Amino acid sequence: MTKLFALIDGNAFYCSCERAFDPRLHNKPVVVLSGNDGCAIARTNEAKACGVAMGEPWHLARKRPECRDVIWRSSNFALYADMSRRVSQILQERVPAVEPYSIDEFFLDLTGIADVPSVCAALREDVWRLARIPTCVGWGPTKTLAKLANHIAKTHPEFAGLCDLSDPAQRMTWFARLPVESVWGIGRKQAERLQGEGVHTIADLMALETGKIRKRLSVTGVRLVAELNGVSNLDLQECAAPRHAMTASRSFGQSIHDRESLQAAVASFVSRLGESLRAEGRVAAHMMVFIRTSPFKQGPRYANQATMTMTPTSDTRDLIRQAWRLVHNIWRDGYAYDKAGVILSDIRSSGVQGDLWGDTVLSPRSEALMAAMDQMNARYGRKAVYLLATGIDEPWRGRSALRSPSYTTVLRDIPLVRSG
Amino acid sequence: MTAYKGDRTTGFASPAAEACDGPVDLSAVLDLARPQRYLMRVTGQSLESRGVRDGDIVIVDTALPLQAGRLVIACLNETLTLATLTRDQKGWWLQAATPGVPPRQLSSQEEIMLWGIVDGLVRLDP
Repeated sequence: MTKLFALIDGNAFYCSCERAFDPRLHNKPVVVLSGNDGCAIARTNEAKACGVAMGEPWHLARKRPECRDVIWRSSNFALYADMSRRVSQILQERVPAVEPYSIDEFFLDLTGIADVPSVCAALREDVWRLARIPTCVGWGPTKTLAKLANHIAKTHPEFAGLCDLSDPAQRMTWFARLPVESVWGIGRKQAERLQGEGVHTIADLMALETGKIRKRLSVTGVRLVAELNGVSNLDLQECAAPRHAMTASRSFGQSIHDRESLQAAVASFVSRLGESLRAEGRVAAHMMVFIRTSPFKQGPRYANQATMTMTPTSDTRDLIRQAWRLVHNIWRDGYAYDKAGVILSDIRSSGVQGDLWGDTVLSPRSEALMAAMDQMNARYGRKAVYLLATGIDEPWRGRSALRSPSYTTVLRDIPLVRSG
Repeated sequence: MTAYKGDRTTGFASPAAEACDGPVDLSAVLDLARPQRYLMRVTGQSLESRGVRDGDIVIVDTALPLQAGRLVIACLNETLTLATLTRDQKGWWLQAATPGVPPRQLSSQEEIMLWGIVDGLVRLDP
């Protein structure tokens, strides 16, 4: 049977989540800012029309006269995650298989389904009605074509959010018009190199002989071109593969000058990673910590990293101890640190026998204590209990002054409704 | 370790082991895990006559069909507002609770949009 995939994704997803609960934002230019209110990460069409660019720093954009009516919001990831959960549930109740590809994109397997255009239109309608999120849907015989169809739907408002690329003849006319970088998996660098060789459109790429494609884009490129030809190589992945590494890192709201504050920030990253490890029943055996000054600010620059192999663990206390040892190795006085991060790798399931000569791995006491912490935090909210090593207030977290309430996840934050 | 629910005793086997329901889960009763269920908090006294008080939590459903007489959440004047849904030959209308406010006809325009339908109410500390 010919396969059929669709990709449905939220239009300006973060902005749409904000709009869902705040009617004052309807039809207005809205921009959501990155953590620490650094730069624009989501823009409504109205905001794009005001000239706000993706990634544009807030402190510059807000001063431009054409942006004076823009409504700025700090990012509110608790809200976006819950709305993504709602969208995914709506889809799962209506189609046989759903892959959450990113927080705002879902691949659907619609193989064997009759009247796909009506099904896709109904999905779009239901997601709008039930979750108040406007979407676009694109579909075709491969994931790559579904992604491309979605891109066409998004950039051609006259299609009313829907685009079908299952007809080969119709595909060809699009291929001749669309630039090669609109294909999923072709980055800007690769596109520039291809353009240098006269390959501008998707049709140009597909006209190349296989040997040339392999030389330019490796075997991935060959598979990609097959997908564009309607030969499905990529299947739906209904849940994320177990991760081989986990990262927690961020830029600080204000520079850190003393070691204690940096240690507190790193301890906080590691606590989060410990929680994720335990939630997946896994342990990590390798750790990397990095710290750096800002590449944009004046002043002396420094960046360094340190790694170590350790007895596999998911106990936050062990993780903090190890992370601080690494910080000790790379810390230098006299710098204004702007970013730090922790990467855990060599992640195994916690049943695996660890270092025979080291301390007992995951002693029952450790496991019980961590489980109790996780349960309390799940029940009473993040940071209900935590290790003092992470610090009590978190000055490095920085600004998020424009954050909306957690409308759907915290009782005291639910939307207010006037009774007349 | 699983919590004791009246089932697993150490001495005499519990005669109730097969009948342990656990406590009532209000979240399940109110169906809060469904994607179309939202909570909102009422402000103002205008709906006291319908038994809806200031501070009440309403459960809002975005999937229920329209039905005359039901309490709904609408976007009116850029505000989430409680209103009563009514119907006549011209179509659906939103009647605000405040006396003297004329009904507004439901349209697909965003500024008079139906947000959801009130399907339950929780009052803590009545």
